[in-house]
Amino acid sequence: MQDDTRNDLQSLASSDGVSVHAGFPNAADDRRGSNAALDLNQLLIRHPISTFYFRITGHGQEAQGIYGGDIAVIDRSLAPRSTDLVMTWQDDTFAIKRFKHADQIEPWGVVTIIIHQYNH
Amino acid sequence: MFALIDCNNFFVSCERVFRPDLEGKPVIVLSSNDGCAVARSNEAKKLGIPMGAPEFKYRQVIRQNGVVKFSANFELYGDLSQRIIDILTEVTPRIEVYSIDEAFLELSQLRIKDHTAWARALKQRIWREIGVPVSIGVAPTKVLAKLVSERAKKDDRLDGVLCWNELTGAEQAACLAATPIHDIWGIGRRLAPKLRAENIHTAADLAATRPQFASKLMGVHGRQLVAELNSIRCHPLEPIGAVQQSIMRGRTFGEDTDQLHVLQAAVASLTARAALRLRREGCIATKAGVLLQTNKHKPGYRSWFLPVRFSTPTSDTGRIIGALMAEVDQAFRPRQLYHRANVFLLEFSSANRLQTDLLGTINTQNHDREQSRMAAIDAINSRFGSHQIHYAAEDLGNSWVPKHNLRSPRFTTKWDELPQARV
Repeated sequence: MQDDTRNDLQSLASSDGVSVHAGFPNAADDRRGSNAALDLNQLLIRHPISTFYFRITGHGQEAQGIYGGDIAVIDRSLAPRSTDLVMTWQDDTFAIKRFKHADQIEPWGVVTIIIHQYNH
Repeated sequence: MFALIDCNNFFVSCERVFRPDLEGKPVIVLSSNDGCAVARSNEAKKLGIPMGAPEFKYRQVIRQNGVVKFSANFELYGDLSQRIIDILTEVTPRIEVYSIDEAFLELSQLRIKDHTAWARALKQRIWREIGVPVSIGVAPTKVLAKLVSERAKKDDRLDGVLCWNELTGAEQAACLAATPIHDIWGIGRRLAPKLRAENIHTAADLAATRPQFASKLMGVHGRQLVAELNSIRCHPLEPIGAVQQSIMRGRTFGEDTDQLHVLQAAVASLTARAALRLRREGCIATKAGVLLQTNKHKPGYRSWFLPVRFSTPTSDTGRIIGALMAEVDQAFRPRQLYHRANVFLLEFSSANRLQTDLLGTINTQNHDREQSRMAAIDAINSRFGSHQIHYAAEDLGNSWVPKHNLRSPRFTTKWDELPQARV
């Protein structure tokens, strides 16, 4: 992605603002064939229509491997099962909880992935 | 058979997706600058705040009842709208997206046994997956589908779904009789008084009107309305492929201005946005125009429409800005206070089916270069945020940029504005 963008910028700059990159829109299409690069969306996002992202705050779930600053991927199309982590709306904030049928709260969505970025 | 899927109080419902505590509370969404209510929750409607109401006129009602205000967050609304359209497109590719919050589906190829059960399941799916409540009307014509969806929205007992063909004859008659004329799709504020003057007050009255008389009153449109109300199909689905025929982008200035450079900056920026949209549609425009207006609420209201025509249709931001700017320069009057600018792009054709005009003056080489340059600019802007590359004229002034202080975060389109979750 980064390199593509740099190339695009260069080709734009080298032609005085007039790109002679006639094949530009197709270049991306060509890569979607069988040799397409791996796409994390394909691996991680099963239902893009119903998938939303949240930013984690707080330290309450570090034992579960969830840290402040992480991104939680939430799928609203899934029916929660017990032991699922779910997004709930409680006391005027969103919070991640372990789902319990007994709570009888309709969760906002089901947590499918936590993205934790290491400092680099 | 058609289904109309209509999102209830769409902008308010979008805000509630990320503010579930606002369920059941009065909420209004204000246009980004002039502060008029462009969406109201049912609770706000009950307080008597009308559509388009300037906020300042209702300040007391708003304060006394704790009405929650938002500035319009079009990125959020656009994203949620697209998700709903994606769900509907999964149901059937035979879809007509009528507006940001309404779409028709054509159902004849779907083999649905029970339309009510089908519509309930679809409504439930949109509610669960997106969090937006919708009303669904199913009927043999688009006018009737719209009509029953409105009934479904207003009558709590129906739970948001109504199917015309599953009503008895008496129920259908009652439904038409309960629909005032101005609520019929295609009858605007101008036509309604004209019809009332002829003693046509409800959909039932119009359905019983002689077609000849209806065309005398409203032209062919009227005859079609009467037919559609009688279950005779006149309006086919106009699918996505049908090329949109105009794009408008408008802004009200932060304060009325007599500065040419403020007008120029607004027109340039609006043109850039409209042209981007045009290119996303894969289209080029034959005409463009600027509408400049003074303040409607002040005496001496005036407006100027400045059209331009391109011998070669274009989607090139620079070319369109150049043409419109020349018009603005000419029309500008010193000491005139301007309130609002709108930029229009009109008469589209598909960018890859460029037709030469009669003089044959088309320069295809130029056209291709224009297209690939704009594609590159759009690609860069979409990766680095929407304003990395822009035309210098857009920088001339920014007093016209709307105030966004009441806007909710762009939860679904900006990584640094994600909703927060506590753990």
